[in-house]
Amino acid sequence: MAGRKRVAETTEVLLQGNVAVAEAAIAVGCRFFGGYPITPSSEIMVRMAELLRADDGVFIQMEDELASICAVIGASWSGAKSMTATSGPGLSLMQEALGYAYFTETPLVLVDIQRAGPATGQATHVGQGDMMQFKYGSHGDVFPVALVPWSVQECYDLTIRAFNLSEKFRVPVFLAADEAVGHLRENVVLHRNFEVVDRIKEGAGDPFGSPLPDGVPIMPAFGDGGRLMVTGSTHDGRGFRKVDDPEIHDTLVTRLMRKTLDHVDEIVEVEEYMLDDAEIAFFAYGVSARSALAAAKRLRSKGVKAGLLRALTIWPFPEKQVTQLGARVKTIVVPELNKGMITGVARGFTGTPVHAFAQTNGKIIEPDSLVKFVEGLP
Amino acid sequence: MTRDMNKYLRDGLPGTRFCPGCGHGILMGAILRAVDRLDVALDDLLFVSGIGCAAWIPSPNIGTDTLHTLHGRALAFATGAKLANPKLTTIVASGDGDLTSIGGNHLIHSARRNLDVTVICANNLIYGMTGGQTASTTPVGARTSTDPDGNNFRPFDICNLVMASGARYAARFPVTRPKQLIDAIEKALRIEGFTFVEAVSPCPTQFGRRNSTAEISALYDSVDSQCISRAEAQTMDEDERLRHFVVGEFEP
Amino acid sequence: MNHAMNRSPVQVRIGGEAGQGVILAGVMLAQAAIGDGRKVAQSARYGAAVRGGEATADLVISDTPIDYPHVETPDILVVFSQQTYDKFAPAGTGDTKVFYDPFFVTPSKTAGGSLWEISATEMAIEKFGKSTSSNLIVLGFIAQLTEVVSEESLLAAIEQNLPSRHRAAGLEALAMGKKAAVEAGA
Repeated sequence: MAGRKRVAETTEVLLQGNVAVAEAAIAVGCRFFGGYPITPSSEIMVRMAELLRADDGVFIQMEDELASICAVIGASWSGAKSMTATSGPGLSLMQEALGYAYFTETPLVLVDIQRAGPATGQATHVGQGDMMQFKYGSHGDVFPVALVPWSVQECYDLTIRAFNLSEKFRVPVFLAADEAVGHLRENVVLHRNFEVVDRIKEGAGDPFGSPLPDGVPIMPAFGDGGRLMVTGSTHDGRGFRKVDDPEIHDTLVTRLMRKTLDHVDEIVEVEEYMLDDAEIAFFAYGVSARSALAAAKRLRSKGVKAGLLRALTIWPFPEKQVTQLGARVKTIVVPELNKGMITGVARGFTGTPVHAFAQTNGKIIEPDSLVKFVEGLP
Repeated sequence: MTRDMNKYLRDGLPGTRFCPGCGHGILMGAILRAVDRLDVALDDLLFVSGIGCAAWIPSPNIGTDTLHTLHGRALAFATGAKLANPKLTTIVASGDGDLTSIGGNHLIHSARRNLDVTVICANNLIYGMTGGQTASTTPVGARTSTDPDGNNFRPFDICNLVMASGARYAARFPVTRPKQLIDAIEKALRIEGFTFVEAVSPCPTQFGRRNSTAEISALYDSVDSQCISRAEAQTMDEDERLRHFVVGEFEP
Repeated sequence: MNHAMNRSPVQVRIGGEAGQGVILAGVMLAQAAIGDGRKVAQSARYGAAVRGGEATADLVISDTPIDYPHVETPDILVVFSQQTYDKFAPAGTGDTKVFYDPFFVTPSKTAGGSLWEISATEMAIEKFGKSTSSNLIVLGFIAQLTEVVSEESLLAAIEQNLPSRHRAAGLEALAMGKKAAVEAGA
């Protein structure tokens, strides 16, 4: 396998998306990986095992996904940038702890290589059916961040961004990848041309509260002398459990929401393709956006003014961008490998007709079938 | 000789939330007295607990770093925290339901890996916080809110379970014998690797009033009178042994 | 062709059974194309079993960024199993070059495309006593006939992917494929 030795930082090399995720994690300072094998994400843990062991980091294969995510949270509180990787069934098992990580403001990165579900489904085939799990998988109100790569290069770049956002906002960040991108091999440059963001360990204020309505508190590590009280129960700024105080609960839940929602301009990234004069636009993410871009180009060659708005951040949802898109075009088509999860969300932010191209056959969407779909629209 | 245990308690505490007669206060005192015999800085101590009454022994009462986690998952969290910072003396304190039922898999795997933590299991024989339901540690015949006619299933022998899974040391003592309990916790803390202490800590509110007696002292007498040595246990048949608590130390 | 400007995109599909080196052949071809300064998108489809079952490696090679990353209509189809031949062989007239190993595949008389036979399995067994190098014989064969990648880059890719103890045999297998292609093309 290529890449057992570190490759140059400027050369294009052939790497699998999953391997690029691992390379990025190490490059941005990940020091802990806890995981459990699951297709189609396992290449990430295998590569992390190689890289972390070679570099005095900590790799541990846990007994299940429940344990994996909990170990990652524990490691993050010991001061290590931490990550796990899984696929749909594992993500389902991790949901309780993800709510815990969110509520305790624990930075971590969870890489989900989506496969065709529900249940065991088709383990080796692609799906995008976890899109709602990132946002709605936990009980209670959670406002995490989910980034969606569409290429191997973005598996690298967005993993770095996921760690940085996670550290900056003290929030779990998902890399919402899919089997097609995770297993794709493409040209990639493992560059070091990026900023590294670290959590703020010292400073004014308590570790679980902020005077600002959207504030991110300091986060000392275990062993730093902070005598931390980390709890998944409702807590005050110091960490004391406050399980009967209505105001403390509401203030905490609201601040955690505003931590991400008040910063959507910084967190949400989209890209536009051929939208200047477009009458019909695809709104797409992940591998399906590549099908959409190919289809838009083919439609253009047939005289149809088609374009693409691509979401690199899916949660928080690019609400403003979808509203603006709806004002520019007559029709929006959302191609996705589920029964229209994001289509339904997009409809909430525009009055323009939004059509689902929902494909659940374990394959990525062929551009010609999208072209045909658009040509068949009223 | 008395020692000032207050330095181990967190500032600003209103007092513990344990019911009158709960054994967990005695156990907390035993843990702190054992820790006090070690030469470990408070800043290097981490207590991890799950969910339930026993999980409140360290959190928030003990004034070190504390990690109050999810139901059953204390050992999984502790694995990450300890491996990412090996200098932390890591103590997992939680209940029998938390550690052996919902968290049973993490218990045996942590023992198998010989994770360098000490686990203190407060065994109150029942689910206390949720209203006295049967646990995986409830004695045969004991009445609970979900088995009002008596529990039919055999309880785990937790010490033997963790020893079979690879623990370096295990011990079982009731809170009615605090000296042995403190010695056992101290010994567990001094041994490198996975060590385990089961403290039989009866619950008057949920277990006592449904079984022996609502009278706290009678409950404690009853538990203490059921304690037998491992040698005595050898002379009993299984049915008789199951009506007792086999106390002592278990070493590989 | 390899060093010409505006080289057209090429779609390659390699089909066979898991364990035949199908996916490794796709990876080496992709690495060679990067060595030629091109963009690639290489993917695989396979079942849940580690051994056995259908395996397909897709490769798109282009001078510009690749939008759709999978193969739609292969320009080059390589098949190591009857099942993948039957599934992917072009219907009617097509430009697809179909490379097949007669040890596994009997081509249909009505299928389209141009047919190229390469007895890679037989050649490998005869030379090395086992079939494991047959994928490299085929790579040497198609590189020579289609110029999809340069010989220089393919050699480099093989050196990078094979452990040193298999390298000499690998390079020899590649040369056998090239020689067979020269003979077949002549």
